[in-house]
Amino acid sequence: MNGDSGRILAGVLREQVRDVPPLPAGLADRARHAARRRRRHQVVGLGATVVVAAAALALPTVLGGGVNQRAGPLPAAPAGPRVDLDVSRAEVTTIDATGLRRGPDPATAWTASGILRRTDGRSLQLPDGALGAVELPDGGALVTAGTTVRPTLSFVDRDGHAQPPFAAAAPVVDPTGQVAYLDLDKHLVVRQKADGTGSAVTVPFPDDGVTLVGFLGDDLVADLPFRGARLIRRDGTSAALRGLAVATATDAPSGTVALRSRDGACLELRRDDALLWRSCRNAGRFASIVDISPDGHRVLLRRDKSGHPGTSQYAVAVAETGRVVRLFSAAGRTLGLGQAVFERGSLLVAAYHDEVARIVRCDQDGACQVTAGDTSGSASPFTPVWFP
Amino acid sequence: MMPMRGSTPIAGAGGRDVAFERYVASRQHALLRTAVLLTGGDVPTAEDLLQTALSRLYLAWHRVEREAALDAYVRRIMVNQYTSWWRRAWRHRESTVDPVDLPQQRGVSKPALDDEVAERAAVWALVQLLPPRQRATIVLRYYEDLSEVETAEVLGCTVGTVKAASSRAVARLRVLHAEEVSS
Repeated sequence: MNGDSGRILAGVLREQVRDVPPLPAGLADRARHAARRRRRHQVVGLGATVVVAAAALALPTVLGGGVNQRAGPLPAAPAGPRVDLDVSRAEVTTIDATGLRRGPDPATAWTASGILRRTDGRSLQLPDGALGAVELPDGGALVTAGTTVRPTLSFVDRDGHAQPPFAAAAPVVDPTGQVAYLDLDKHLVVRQKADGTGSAVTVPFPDDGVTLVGFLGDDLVADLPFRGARLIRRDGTSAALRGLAVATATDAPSGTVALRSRDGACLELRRDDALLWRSCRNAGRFASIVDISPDGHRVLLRRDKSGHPGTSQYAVAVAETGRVVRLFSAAGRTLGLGQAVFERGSLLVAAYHDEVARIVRCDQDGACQVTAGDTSGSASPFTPVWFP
Repeated sequence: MMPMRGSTPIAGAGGRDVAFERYVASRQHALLRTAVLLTGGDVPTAEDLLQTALSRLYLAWHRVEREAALDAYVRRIMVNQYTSWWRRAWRHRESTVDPVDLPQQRGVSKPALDDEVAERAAVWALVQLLPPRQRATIVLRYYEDLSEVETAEVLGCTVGTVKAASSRAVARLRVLHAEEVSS
């Protein structure tokens, strides 16, 4: 560095920020919102601390709060803590599904042997070639089929009548019944009511490999290769999603979104556009955050043994702090775990044993039971209806 | 880049939201640039940092009596907040930035850079290695073009401390640069 350090420094610094992109609109609103959360947090003071401590003691009974209802306002987002996702202090649950007692059927929809078991207790026969199905609020389903190269979707009504399949992929549904998917022929993101009625909002997408992740509030989250995660609004406009490059899970009611860096080194969780936490140390070597509990207080992390698909391990962590609470892994005659999702206050996970797969429910105490599947050697895997 | 030096009284209670929105709209991009430099080029963290600072400004709006003080107040919060985050991250021995997003890595890796561009990329890489408060001193003095007195006000220290920190930072840059060249 030569003598005129100040001049060089000034030039270098200005050059570094010359192309900083403008912020998304609404910064003042977000700052005001964060300020009010901070003020509420300060006012609550010691009372909040006691509530949080009580909640921490109560939560071990369930993973996500026990019931599919919100337990009140979610805590204010701390501004940017870094966490390590260390599993060394987490409880460990090993799952050998062959020795577990039988419990009630899953409270989420699931498919097996070409039949969709809905959450209202009804069953829907799926069309031949169906690979999976998303339960729709109107009593029907959105069925995935086709091949990896040419995936298709078809709407099935509540009586089991299927509409012709069309080239489409990545269906997502929100609790209010909106559905969105990628129309691969027209190259559009389509968003409409679940029964196919109403005006469809369509958004052109220029890149191959676009994936819809889920709804976030009233917006839709999509991952675009080379452009990162984006929010698609109801009016069809879109904006870059703040944070790391790739979105992996959303929870629409709580406004929570999980992201990871493109190289997979960092994971982060954001709520209401504010950073809850980020982990680049990622001591647990988790690949991504794959689900957010219905009450917004828990996240599900997945890690895989390299080269061994279907042998995932899962961990449950506290959404607000990133503290890993419990690690789940296969044991005994269960060869691997996969397709885990939250079910109200518990975890549902497919446990594989040779040609048999069962859905296992585990609570946060580590108590597990088989919820679906049998031991007769059926070749048809049971799968939760929706998994990232 | 210069701080707002007017002396217009800011709005009272009724106009706080309007005045706040006007301030954010007029200053957000400039403040984001400063935040990006304070964080060593980590744009997502810079955005969080700015939003955090603005939320605190909103709460303290009535205590900040003059518009001239607004920029200084936001800068001070950003410096202190980022230093706090950095200390927590350091304790966890964790990278606080996503390596794939570092602009200097993209720049340095290009083989066709001419000497001047390579020199600037190297200097920026060295600035990123500085501890947050030393980097803040550099940013405030050489990017924001603040005087030593103004820099001291933002950092909450004496002018002598700014002189010493600035001198140490530049000296450290020289040492780091020498090591870089000799390696």
